[in-house]
Order: sequence, then structure tokens, then C-alpha cells
Amino acid sequence: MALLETKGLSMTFGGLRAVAGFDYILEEGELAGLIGPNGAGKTTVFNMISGLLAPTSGHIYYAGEEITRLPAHEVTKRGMARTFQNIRLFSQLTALENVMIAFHRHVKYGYARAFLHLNIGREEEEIRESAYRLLEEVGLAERAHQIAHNLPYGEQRRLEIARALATRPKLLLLDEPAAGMNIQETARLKTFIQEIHDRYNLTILVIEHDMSLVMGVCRRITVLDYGMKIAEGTPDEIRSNPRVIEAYLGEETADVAN
Amino acid sequence: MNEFLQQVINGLSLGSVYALIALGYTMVYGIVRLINFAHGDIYMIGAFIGFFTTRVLHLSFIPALILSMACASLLGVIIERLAYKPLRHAPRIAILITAIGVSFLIEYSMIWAFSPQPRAYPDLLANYQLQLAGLIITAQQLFILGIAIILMLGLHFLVQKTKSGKAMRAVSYDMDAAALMGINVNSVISFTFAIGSALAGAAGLLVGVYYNRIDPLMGIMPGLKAFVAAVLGGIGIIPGAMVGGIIMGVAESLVSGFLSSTYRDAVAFAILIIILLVKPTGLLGKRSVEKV
Amino acid sequence: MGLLSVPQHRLEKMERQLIWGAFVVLLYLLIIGLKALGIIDQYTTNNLVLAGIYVILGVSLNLINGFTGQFSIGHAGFMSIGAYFGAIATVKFGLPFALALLMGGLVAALAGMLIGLPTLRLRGDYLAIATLGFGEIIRVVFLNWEYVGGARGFSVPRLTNFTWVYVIAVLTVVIIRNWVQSAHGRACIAVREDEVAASAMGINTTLYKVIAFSVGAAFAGIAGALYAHYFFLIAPHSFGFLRSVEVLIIVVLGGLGSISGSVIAAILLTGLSMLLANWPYPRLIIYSLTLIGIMIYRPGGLMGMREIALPISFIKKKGEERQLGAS
Repeated sequence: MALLETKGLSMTFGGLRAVAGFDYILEEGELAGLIGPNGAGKTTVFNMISGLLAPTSGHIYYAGEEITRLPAHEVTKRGMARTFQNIRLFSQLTALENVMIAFHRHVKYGYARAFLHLNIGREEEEIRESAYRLLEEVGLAERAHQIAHNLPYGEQRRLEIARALATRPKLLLLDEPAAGMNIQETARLKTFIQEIHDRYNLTILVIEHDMSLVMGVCRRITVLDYGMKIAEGTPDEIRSNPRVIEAYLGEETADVAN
Repeated sequence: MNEFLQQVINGLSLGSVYALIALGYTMVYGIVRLINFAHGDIYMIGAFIGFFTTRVLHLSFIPALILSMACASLLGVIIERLAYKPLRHAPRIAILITAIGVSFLIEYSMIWAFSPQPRAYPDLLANYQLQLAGLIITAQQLFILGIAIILMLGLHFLVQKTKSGKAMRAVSYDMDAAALMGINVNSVISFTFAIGSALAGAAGLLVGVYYNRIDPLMGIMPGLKAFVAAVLGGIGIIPGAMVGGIIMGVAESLVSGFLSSTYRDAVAFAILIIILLVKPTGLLGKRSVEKV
Repeated sequence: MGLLSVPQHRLEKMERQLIWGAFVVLLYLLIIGLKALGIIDQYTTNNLVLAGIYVILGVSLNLINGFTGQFSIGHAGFMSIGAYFGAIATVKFGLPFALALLMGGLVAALAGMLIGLPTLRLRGDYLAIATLGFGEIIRVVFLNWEYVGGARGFSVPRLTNFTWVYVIAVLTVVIIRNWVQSAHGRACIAVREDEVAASAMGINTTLYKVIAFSVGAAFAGIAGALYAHYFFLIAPHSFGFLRSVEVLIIVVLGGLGSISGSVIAAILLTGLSMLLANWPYPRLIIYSLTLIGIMIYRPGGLMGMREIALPISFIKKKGEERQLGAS
């Protein structure tokens, strides 16, 4: 069954069409990629799916339910989590606190008990323990009490993924997880994504500008250019697709011209 | 109907004063994204300078106006250098708190130095009255309106046609890019404070003449209202401040004329909250979207 | 294992609570004792009451400004609502004092909610100005409300005493501390740190902003009701912008996000205004210089985001631990 489906998804900013009629199906358990040159509309697609942007038109379905225009926290509650292209950690808090916050939707006690600290000790300990365990699993246990802002860049990315995992999602959206990483870090990230995909039974959709990560880790890739889907297929098919080459070449010439 | 028109006339001169103060708010906000809380107090200082130059030095209206503007201008630049500049890269809230502090500092230093008692302003302008179809227009009202219009035209020329004006617009559009283009951002900011404060100083003198009394706390309410006028017109937009100021002045006159003058101050804030909720970018503003 | 060994954790918590509890009781007994001996006179008592009221105001504003990151500068408006409605309850309806405090708090909370729902969409300085505007509108409404005396003011009997203020100030600190050290308080802190990320973590950001706003307003309302029943007369001008700024100074001086900071700052500032009672204007000049100075030289305030931790523990610690909002 399709876990995520979009039909005719479109977004217009002012007069600019960022995404135009994007149809997409993601099956449960897939590890898929969405690529495209700069400004192709990838992040806009993510923002619409995760509820941060309301699409101009079109529909989004998650596990058979329409989630178009639901606010972000409602989307998260239904089992979807995401990371951000330009890391958005709670930068003044520790790594552990970052992850603890993400357990929010599993908190059972209400406001009154929070004000009175009525029997919340055990649940708080459980949250703290689960958060700590999650940090252990992503290899950040020693960083638990460090302020997120002070972590090295690669670890901040990893922490952001851990935080997304803490919401216990079925679908994880990764927005350019390799941005700003060197070759070694990217290689490590590749293994890491593969690992969490298998360990947590996740469905993962990765956005990447840089092709090497996606080509190595995704089994199916969709290419977006000027807000439209121009190709879809296995990494090999994508690599040899003339339209894809053209889209990326066009960008390179533009880069040179700049 | 006559009563209505009379209130509109009264509102126009009041509104032009608000517009003069609002221009300073809007220019400063446009450049450094700061609500300069102390701006209303600069207006008060302008009124006091006018008081001393005319009462003590016995100057006439025009030299007093020029001196008020010059001193207000200097004060604005000093405040920026001492209090705001060290915080240019701090969170905006930190600068806002500082501005509140500066505002209180000026107000209570003035009270300490000159007592909170109101002072009577000398009559600087002849007090003629024009009767026109049952409406009363005073010479002072015309004077205020006239001087406000001249100053606003001057500002328009300055911003649109001169090199400094172009630099100002460039910094307001993108401070970092302007700096890269070789524009001295610091002097542009000082210049903006100087011009905005000069206009507030002029407004202070005009109000002193019009209402005939000044006191150290007189800047609080007009300052807040002028800020509302700036938001109403679209903060950062110079014609917006003029439009907003006039609307505020007229609305306030109508409310005090037809309802009760005790509701006068509430009107400004009601307008503010409605505009923030309905069209936060103001009447002449454009929408902007936060980037995720 | 060391980090989370449960019995140790519980024991330490109990120890902390015991020491704090003992401190609070002893301080109370000390003040009452000194009062009985006549060492603390009526003038000092008035200031102790005022300090307690400012503790409530400061800590509750810190929940809004410091922990949830929503910048409100209209706290005196909520205080005035509590003052007037609390006074209406006792003067006009003859209700018992405790009920009047509750009513003051509830009406203020309701006002916080009504104001919060539409305005909390605004960010940063725009929200600040909107709250200032609401504070002023509330003031004008009371000014024109003849039922409660309008500009002449409203006479209220003295029902508040030091014990009431002390107990409620302690409760305010405990309740707000509890909140910020719970999962729901963490949600507020997440809103402060990054609203977009918080909503992506499943946090309903509007809901938590409204909660913070209403709870903060409720305590300000209770503080207002206590104030009204101590100083005999309330008038709209007692709750102007100056009062809001005083509370703001307390929060900023103590540190945005530090409860103990707000408590210390509230006491320090009340002490300062007591010393400078005969020089009201220099006092305000010192206030404003403090505000500017903190922002330029020590933007975190006295305490930053830290809390006072007990310096000694009789139970040996095995691992270090840092609570949210504490270090």
C-alpha cells in the first residue's frame, strides 16, 4: 500500500510556480530519493508534505488519509518526521534535551499533573531513558549533556535525525542531510541512513542536491526540475537519462556563468 | 456635518504632527529593524529646546525651529552610537528593551532636572482665526500643516534624489550587500537617526506652539501613536508614515469630538491591533513570507 | 547505569525538596518573629508584601517571556484586571478573600486567552507592541468604568497580609518551576528555541503559547488582587506602562529563563526602591540605566538561564546531571 501519495501538488509564491502538479507515490518500506538542481522545488515539496506550507492546490495522502493543509504538529502525530536543510536544532539546549522534547507526542500526563508534578517522576524518567538510549543508538551518548550548538557539524545532523526518530515515525523525510559534509562524512551518513532504515523499519525519502549520496543509498529516484517531475527510476536509469543530464548540465553552465 | 468637518480639520494638523514623528520611526525601522522607543522623547526634547530658545534666548520662530531640529538630531545620533550600535547584532528584543531603557532615562532625567510640572509655551505665531462656512481654522493649524508639508517634501527629495538618500535606500534593502558595495553603513545609520530625530524635534516645537504647554512626559503618547501610524501605513515605507499619521490624527479627533476624549488613547491601540491582525504589513505594505 | 539509577535519583530529589521546604518555612518564621519583636516595622512589612507581589509578577512574566519566548510588555494590564475583579468580588459581592483571589486570577487568565489567541501569531517586537496596546486599552476601559470609580479609583479593604503574599509567592514559584521542568514546559521552551522545529516535533505551538500567556496572566491577576487588598485604593494609573516595565526589568535583570533569577531580582529591586523612596526620579534613572547596561554588557541577566542549585548534597553523586533550564 502506498504510505504517501501526492496528487497534482502545486505551490505558487507570488507569481512564481515553485511546484507544478507533482504526482508521487511512496510505498511502505521504501528508501527513495528526490533530486533536482537548485531551486527545483524539492524543499517546497517537503514543506507541503510535512504541513509547514499549505499547497496552492493538489492533495496529499498519508496511509490512506488526506492530510492536505493539516498543521505540522498534526502531520507529525500521524507518524511522519523530518529534518531541515539548514539544521534547526534547539541550539541552546543539550543533545539529550533536544531528543526529550521530540518525545512530546508520547507524553501521557496532562497539564494539571505537570503543574503539580503529580506522579510524573516515573514517566519523566522513562522519557529521559528512552532519549538517552536513542542517543546511544546513533552514537551520540557521550554528547548527551553538551549544548547542541557546540557539537561538530556532522553530529548536529546526526542529532537532528535522532530527534526526528524520537517522534517514532513510520516515514522519515531527510532534507539534504549531506549538505556541507565532506566525502568521509557523507560516506558515514550513507551507512547510517541504511542502518536506521533497517533497524526502525522506516520508510525514508531523501532530498539531495548532491547526487552521490542518493545514488548510493536509494533504490528509486525521482528527479524534479522547475517544479515538475522530469524522470523517475533506478539510480542507473537516472544516471543515463538525457533530460536529467540536461537539467544538471544547464545548472553547471549557469554556475560557470556566475 | 459641520461638526464632523471641524473635527477633520482639527485632525489634519494633529495628524501632520503624528506624521512627522512617524517618519522617524519608519526610517529607523526600515534601516535597523528597531522600534526606537526613545523617539517620542526626542520629540519632547525638541519641544523643550524650542521653549528655552524662545523664552530664554528670545529667538523668533524660525531660528527656534532650526535649533530644535539640530539639537534633536544630535541627540538621536548620540543615542544610536551609545546604546544601539553595540547591540546591532544582538537579538531584536534586546535592542527593544534597551530602547525602552533609553526612553525612561530621558524622561526621568528631564523630570529630575526640570520637575514634572507643565510649562506654558510662549506665543510664537499670531493667533488669527479664519471663519469659513461655519468652520474655524486657526492660523496655527495652517502653519503646522504648512511646515509639516514642507518638511515632508524636503525629506522626499532627500531620499529620492540625493546620494545619501540612495545609500539609505540601499542599506534598508540589504545592509550586508550595501556594505559590500562600499557604502559606509555606520554613517548611513547615523544619518537616518539624524534626519528622523530632526523631524521629531520640529514636531515637538509645533506641538508646543499649538497646545501651549509642554512637560517631560509629553512624548510618551504621541510617540506610541506615531508608531501606530507608522505601522498603519506600513512600517519602513515613507509615504505610509504620512498617510498613517493623517488617518490617526483624524480618527482621534473624531473620537474625542463624538465619543469622549478619554477614549482618545484607546483608539490608537485599537487601530494598531486591528491592523496587526488584518494586514500586519500596513496599508501600503507588501506581503513577505518567512523562509522555512 | 550510573546516570539513571532510580533509587539514588529519587533520594536526591527528596533531599532537595526537604532542604528547600525547610528554608521556606524557616524564612517565614524568621520574618514573623522579627515582626513580633518589632524589628520589622510597618514600612518594611509593606515593602516585603510588595516584594512578594513582584516575585509573583516577575516569575509569571518569565514564563511568557523567558521560557516561551513570547515578548509581552503588558503585564500590568493583567495585574489590573485581577486587581479590579478581585476587588469587585469582595467589595460588591461580599465574597470571601480567597475566592476573590481566585476570581482575579481567572478573569485575568480569560483575558490572557482572549488576547493571546489572535495576537500570538505576531512575532517579536510586533507582539510586544500589541501587548503594550492591550495594556493601555485595559487601562482606558477601567478609566471609563464608573462602576469601579473611574479615574477617582476604587477603595478596597485591607484583607491581604504578609502570610497570604508569602504563601502565594512560594506556590507561584513551585507551580511554574514544576511546569517548566515537565514535558509540557519543555514544549514551551522548544517554542522559544525554534517554532518551526517545535511544530515539526509534534508540538502544537499556538496551544502552548496560549497556555503560557493565560497562566502568566492568571498569576499576574492574583498578584493584582493581592495588591488591591493591601494598598486600600486602586486606580487605573497604578497599572500603567511604568509598572509593566518594572516587571520587565525584574525578568531581564534576573535572566530570561531563570526563575530564581526573577525571585532575586524582584527582592533586589523592591529593596532598591525602598532605599530610594525619597528620590523617586533618581530611582527611575537607575532603573533605566540598569536596563540599558544589562542589555549591552550582560544580556543573560544575573543568572542567565541557570537556576540556583543547592551547593551541598549529603548524598554522594555518581553522575552529573543537568535538568532542563538548570545547569
